[in-house]
Amino acid sequence: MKAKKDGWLVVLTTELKYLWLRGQAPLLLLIFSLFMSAYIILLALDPEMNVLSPEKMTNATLQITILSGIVMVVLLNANAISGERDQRSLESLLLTPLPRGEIVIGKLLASLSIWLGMLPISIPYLLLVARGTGVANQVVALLLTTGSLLVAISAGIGMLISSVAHSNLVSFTASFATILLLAAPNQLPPSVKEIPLAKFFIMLNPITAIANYQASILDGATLFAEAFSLLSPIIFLTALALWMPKYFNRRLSLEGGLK
Amino acid sequence: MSKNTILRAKGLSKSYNGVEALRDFSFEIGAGEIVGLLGPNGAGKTTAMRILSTIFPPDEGEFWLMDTPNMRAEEIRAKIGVLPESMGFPSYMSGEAYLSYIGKLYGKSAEEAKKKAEELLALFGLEDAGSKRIAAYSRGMRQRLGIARTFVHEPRLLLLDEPTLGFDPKGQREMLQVIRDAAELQGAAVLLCSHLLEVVDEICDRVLILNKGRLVSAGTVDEIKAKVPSAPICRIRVDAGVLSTALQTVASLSTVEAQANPKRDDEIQVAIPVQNGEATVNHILYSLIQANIKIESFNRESVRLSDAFLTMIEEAQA
Amino acid sequence: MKNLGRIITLVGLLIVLLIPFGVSAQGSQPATLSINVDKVSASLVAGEWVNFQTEITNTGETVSPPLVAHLNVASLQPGKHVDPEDWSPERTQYLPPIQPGETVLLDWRVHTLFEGNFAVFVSLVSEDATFTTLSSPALQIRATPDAVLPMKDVIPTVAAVPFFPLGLLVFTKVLGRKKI
Repeated sequence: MKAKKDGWLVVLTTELKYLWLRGQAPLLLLIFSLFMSAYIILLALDPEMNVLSPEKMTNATLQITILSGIVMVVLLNANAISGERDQRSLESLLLTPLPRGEIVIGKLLASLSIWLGMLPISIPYLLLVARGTGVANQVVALLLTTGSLLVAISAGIGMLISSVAHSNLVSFTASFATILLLAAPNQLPPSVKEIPLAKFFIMLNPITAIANYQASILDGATLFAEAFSLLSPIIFLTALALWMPKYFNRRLSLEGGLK
Repeated sequence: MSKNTILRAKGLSKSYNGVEALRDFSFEIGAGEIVGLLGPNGAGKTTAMRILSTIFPPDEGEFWLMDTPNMRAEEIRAKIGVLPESMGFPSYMSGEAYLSYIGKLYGKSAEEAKKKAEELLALFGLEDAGSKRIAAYSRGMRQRLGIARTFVHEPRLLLLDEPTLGFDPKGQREMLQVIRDAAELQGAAVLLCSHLLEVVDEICDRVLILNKGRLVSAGTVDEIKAKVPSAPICRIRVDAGVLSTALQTVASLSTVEAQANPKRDDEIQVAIPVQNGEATVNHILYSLIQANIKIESFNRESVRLSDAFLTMIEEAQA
Repeated sequence: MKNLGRIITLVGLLIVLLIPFGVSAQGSQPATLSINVDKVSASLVAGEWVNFQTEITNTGETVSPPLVAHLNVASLQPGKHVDPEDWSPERTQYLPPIQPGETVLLDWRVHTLFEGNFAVFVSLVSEDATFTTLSSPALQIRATPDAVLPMKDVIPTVAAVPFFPLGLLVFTKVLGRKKI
């Protein structure tokens, strides 16, 4: 008996079914919406925050939304492999004739569905903050494009770490630390960021490249004017998508670890 | 490889961080054959099972499942049913949903997978629990589900690690019958690990004994028992008044060693040599009858597999 | 006599030349006009409007020339530029001559576009070149920043959106029991 050619689809549909119908994803969305509501109320109440220019506030809200998306997918991806390891149920999947890369792809795509659920919830908050700024359309476009790009890249990184981590906790912590580390160059002083070599690395790093693109769009640049800065994230994501199944076919192991 | 050979392993070796877990392990299993894999803890049984189930590759050596070499792991997995040592389950699924899911991963359509799941749940006595979440299953029910999982796709080779763990005697008997049927009716080869040696003794055609990662003995159950140097024991009960006479009569036979049972005053114990054992027993009984000693009871204990196993492990360790 | 005649002619010419100045200087009484503002200061949130009134009184004995009252806004903080055109829809008001003892009230509206400290004052100028420009005391405006997110606008969204995932959760809990 041979495995189905679209075995990843079986994994995906099963994972989706349990993620959504069991109520896990709706619960995460509810937590997300309550968090966003609390955040917006704090913005409105905090006189220090409420004096930011509307554009800055919109950018901050966009970043918070995308960061929440990253946390959610990394959380779900951590559970996808290292969580199965914790439960000792990974072996059951590894014993099937399905190529291991397909198991991972099915789980990865299922985890990204939470981001699709977060989009319609995020948009009203973003439109509220962006009202009257003239960047409302841009911020929604950025959420859908660069936000999705960033979340997909983070999901890939999270899945890679989950595949080698021995436990959920390690997986989640290491994934988040890696993403924060990649985002760290954005906190460099502007004088350092202007050094050509630093500029090059910021462009090369998919996360900083996306953050810079978002900031420039909300500063008034057109969506296409700086689109070249999205090149490295798109290449990074494409390479990840092409390489990951092959990697997991060979490397996804019962015990985890880097060997 | 003969026509009926299902599994042939040659020189399988595996080390973890420089510690040898399995060394040069070679064997064959034929169609319909049930082979027991025995060994103390840390002997390499689980490592062998995981190599054969392609969970990880061997450092050295190779194996074939019929004509499929171990390098083609996905094809191997499509033909084997594995019950790992302590398999976990997605606790949020129902038993039926779990078996259906696994069936679909083996290439069955949704309808086929559901039908097969229902059949297996009935076969393994889980039909009433099929719709319940696995989280609510007892240990025995999980074990049944684990074994049911191995039959989802009509495997040619079953790799079962402690298949009767958590079963009551009735359940154990039913499970052994299922395994027997798989071998006899479907022609599946079975490699079975168990610490319950009476189970192995009862069901296995052949036994492989591992110690410290090496194969220390292999053969049929009888062959293994015959390798035990210690003799089987005969217990003869007589009237307490004639115990010393009986003891002298038996002791006078040069081929046996006899002694009184220190716990009873009416029983003598006689060690029977493995060679010509039947003739020796006959000779003892004949001598007692000739001496007009009434035999109240006669009990001959055969060599148990556990004795043979322990002897071999001790020898290997020595 | 000839010299006396020349002197008389020069004096006469000088008088003729000086008369208009003398009349003019006597007719304008700049010191006799006063201008006051009804507020000394105003604190408000940027974006709000300030309404105030100026009171111009002719305290002299002569009629004032026609006047122009002009509103000005100055930022009191360096580096913060104010464009008064954007701050007031009507910065200039034209007044007919004001009779002695007469008082004219002028209403003004100023839109504080952003936060900061500002001085708003009204100057009186005239076409009459002899009129000395007069300014009112400054109205000090302290504009605090505008709230980007007023709570009244926030409440509907933050209250309504969580109901979407909540509904989904309830729905899946009900449906999930049947389907899983």
